[in-house]
Amino acid sequence: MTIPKSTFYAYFDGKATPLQKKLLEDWLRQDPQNYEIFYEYLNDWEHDHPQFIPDPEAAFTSLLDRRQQMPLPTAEGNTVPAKRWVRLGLGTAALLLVTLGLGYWQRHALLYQQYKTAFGEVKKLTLNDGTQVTLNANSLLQVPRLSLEPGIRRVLLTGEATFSVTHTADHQKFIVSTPHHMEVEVLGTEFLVFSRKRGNKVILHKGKVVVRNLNHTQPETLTLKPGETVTLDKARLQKPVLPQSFENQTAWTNHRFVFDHQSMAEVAQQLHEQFGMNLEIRDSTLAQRRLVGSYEATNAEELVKTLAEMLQLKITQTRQTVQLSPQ
Amino acid sequence: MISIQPASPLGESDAPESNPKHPILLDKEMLIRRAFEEDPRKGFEFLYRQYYAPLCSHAIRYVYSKEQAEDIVGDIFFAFWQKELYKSIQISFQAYLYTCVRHHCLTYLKQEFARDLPVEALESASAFPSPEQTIQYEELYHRINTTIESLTPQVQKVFLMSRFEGKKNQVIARELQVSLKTVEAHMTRALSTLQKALRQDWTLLLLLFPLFSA
Repeated sequence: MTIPKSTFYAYFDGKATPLQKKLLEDWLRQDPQNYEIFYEYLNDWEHDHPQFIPDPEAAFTSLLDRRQQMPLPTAEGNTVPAKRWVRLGLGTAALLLVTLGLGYWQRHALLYQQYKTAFGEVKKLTLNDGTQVTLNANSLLQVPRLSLEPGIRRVLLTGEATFSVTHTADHQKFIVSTPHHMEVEVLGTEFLVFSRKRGNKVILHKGKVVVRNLNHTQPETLTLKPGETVTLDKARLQKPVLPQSFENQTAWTNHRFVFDHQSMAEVAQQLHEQFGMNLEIRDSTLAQRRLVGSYEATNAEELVKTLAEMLQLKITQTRQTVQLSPQ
Repeated sequence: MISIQPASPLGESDAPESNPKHPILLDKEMLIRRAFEEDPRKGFEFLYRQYYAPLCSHAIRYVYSKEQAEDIVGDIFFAFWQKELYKSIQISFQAYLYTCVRHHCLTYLKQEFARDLPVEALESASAFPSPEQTIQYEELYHRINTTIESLTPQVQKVFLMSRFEGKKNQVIARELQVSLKTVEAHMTRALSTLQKALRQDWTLLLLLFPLFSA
């Protein structure tokens, strides 16, 4: 049964006859899909017959403000302390049964304890084996609730984190996997893993780690000594010529920013990763200007203000971006 | 050495598939759904630009106040984003948003004009209206319309200035060059007429909407 659009319009206008109303009611009953058509026509009708013209921009801005004051539900819901590493037996059977009935996302949440940081947030965690993790902003660490690999503790990292791994009595390996097919295997040590869009790197502070590149059929491995850095560059593991300082690279754990000849463009990128700030530097000389120093800041705005002050720059703020330009 | 591939943990989304039965709607909301998958903020912006204005226009048919209409629609959009409803909604965003707006407007009218009637618990906005209820929603704003049309021109004018434009009684009195008392009397008249009309309907609504029964 097809009902002409004009009947819907007459009905919305209040000009439909009782019989037409009955017809619509029956039609809605016929197929739940007809609701979709009903609301489609209603939306068209409202488009054609607006009762007033709201100002969507003003309302949108206030919605964004409201949204910004609220934490992400996922970030909040996932900060519960980690469950035991391995827990086989009855629980497994029950878990598997439940898993079958749930969608992929929930399944992931069931299999992994997730720790997520919002932009600008740094979180210190202690895993159940005593391993200390400091998760930098805009990062996600997933710890399996059940291990499928005996003798291995494996976590999945997207973003950036430092690990101080506890050595277990049974010499369990600790492995950090990243989405870019790079993984770090350790026994007991302190190191930093960085895995974001712009690159992947590992800096070792203490102990010994093996970094594996799984981008090839024959995995490429590299062993790091304390103080060494390895990056994943064009799908190859490389040791940079200039060593990077672990303290400087992990300054964010104390809300400190340490710049060691980084260009303004790189700083802007870092602010984007950590705080979600869109910092624009159109002036190419300024973008290439290199910074040296250490600043303490808990949010991006503070840091940008300090930079502007120091370098005598003008800050132009729009809704989406912050622009820095020479005065 | 086995390596588990983390299944791109960030940006994961399992927005429900659009219903293939409905090519029109699928096309229309496909971009929005895709944007939600890529970046929820962008998806939200698309959704908002598409539906904010018509939804406000629909809401005002019930509440007759710009401010209330925008508040109701704003709250719905906010909840939609905040609770990440785009991940779980099985019907089109459009059908969901309109259903929600209508339900919220009804709740508002209930609070405003029939607070003393023995009905509570309006939180379950998820209840999808039956065909009868759907038709009843139209009847409701038609009733409100005819009631307001039936008011004398002067009362109607005051009512619209107060409700629709959100002006204070003193301002209306000044603009229309009448006394404050007259404005107040007109407003009382308008609201009580509306209340009477709505209460008549309410008996019917109570029968139709099980969520209203205590």
